[in-house]
Amino acid sequence: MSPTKIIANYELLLQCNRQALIGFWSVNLRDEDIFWSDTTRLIHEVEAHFTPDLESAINFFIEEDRPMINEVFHDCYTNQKPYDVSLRIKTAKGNLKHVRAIGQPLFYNDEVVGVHGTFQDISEQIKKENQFKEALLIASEQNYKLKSFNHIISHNLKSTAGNISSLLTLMKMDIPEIEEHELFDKLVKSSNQLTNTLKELNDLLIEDAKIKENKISLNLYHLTNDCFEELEFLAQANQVVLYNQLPKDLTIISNVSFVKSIFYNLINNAIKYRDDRKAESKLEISLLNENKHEVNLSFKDNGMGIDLEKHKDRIFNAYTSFHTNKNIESRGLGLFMVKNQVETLQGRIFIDSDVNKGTHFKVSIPKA
Amino acid sequence: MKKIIIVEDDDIQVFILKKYLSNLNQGTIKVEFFENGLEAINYIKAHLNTPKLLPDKIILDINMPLLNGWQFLTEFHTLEISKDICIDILTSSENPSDIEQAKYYNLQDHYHLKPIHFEEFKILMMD
Repeated sequence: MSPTKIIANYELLLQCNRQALIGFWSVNLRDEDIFWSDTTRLIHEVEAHFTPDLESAINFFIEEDRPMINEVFHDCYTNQKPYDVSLRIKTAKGNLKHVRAIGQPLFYNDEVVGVHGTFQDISEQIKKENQFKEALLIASEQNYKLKSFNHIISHNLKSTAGNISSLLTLMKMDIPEIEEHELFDKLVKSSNQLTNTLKELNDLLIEDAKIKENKISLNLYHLTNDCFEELEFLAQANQVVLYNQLPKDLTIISNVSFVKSIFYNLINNAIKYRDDRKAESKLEISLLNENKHEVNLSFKDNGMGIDLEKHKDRIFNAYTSFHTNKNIESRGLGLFMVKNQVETLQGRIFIDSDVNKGTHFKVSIPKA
Repeated sequence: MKKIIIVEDDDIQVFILKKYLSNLNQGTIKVEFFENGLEAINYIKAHLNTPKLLPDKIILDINMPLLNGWQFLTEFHTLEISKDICIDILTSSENPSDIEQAKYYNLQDHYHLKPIHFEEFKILMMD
């Protein structure tokens, strides 16, 4: 290698060192000669030509970490054992830094004369790692809270709601004429609403456990018809016409309870938010396209629509209902659940809507 | 005479079941209530040698203080009981872990969700 090339390579190496914040150093214990590279100095925040003695080099490490560096350094020199440790230093300017110190025995004529190695500033990585750990901790805490919440719902709230419902039934048995009373009717309705909301909430919270259920082959055309059948009464009562335009052989491998719940909720939504002024209220379900990985489905209705300008950010939130029509029994959980379930299946959902014209949901679901 | 033990810690639920019982209106079943799994298991342990006093059926809540339904069952199965005792779970829990537990004890067909309606309760008592 030509001298110019060697110099060029050396420059390149120095540049890499600076950028990666890796410095090198060597300690020759024979003649007490210590070498620090520029980057090593930079990390220690010392002046350009600073060279420490062994003791002052060690003293850059914070007191707690000194026994460790002494031990590994000694072990490396006497037993030729290399080391790779993460320690903390306090720089000349008093800043605390996390460093990765790597050391190897330094040979001269087949004899160990000292230790040399690299020195890397890993403060940023450690900082990110700590942030990550903190985020993880918060997430686990939240998860724990959610689980406790789940417990409260499934045991305490549900039992109480169940008791109220049973007491109302008993009341009716004991005092038949109470059924005539307006208040009793309202009480029964409220009790049913409470029970349903808790059931939905409970379903939502135990989804995590359910996802482990085996996926099965699902014909979406038949699944759609099944949902139509279950909602037939509601659709007929509200004069909503349902069109299943999916190919008859459209099949995916997925979690049946999730996919069904997504379809059921979207169909139910279209019936609930129909626009009675239209000559024919309708919902069309069709296949937009498909590729190797997923099917893109379309749920298009000509209902009331939602003002996306106003509500875009909140559309899939829990307990958000955009309609004030008193005839609509809305708990605001439908779309929240749909999005949740679509995403649990690793699919996506988009909404497009115009007030008074209708709503168009596009749902992508993985094929397997 | 058939004997049934109901293990339930919720006062209102006990009230409801007692009300159901009075509406059931028949005298061939004797029902005894216990507030938690510990009271129930102690009763059974105390009467191991008097099969006449042991129940034919136990209706068991899961979430209870001191000894919950599953802890009760664990102890129950260590006992040597000469009588055939049928177990029914009556709970408001739909937690997958509880349903798994029920399968473990082969009680998946004896798992009843609250609120239990009168007709359902009637079948449960007559069965």
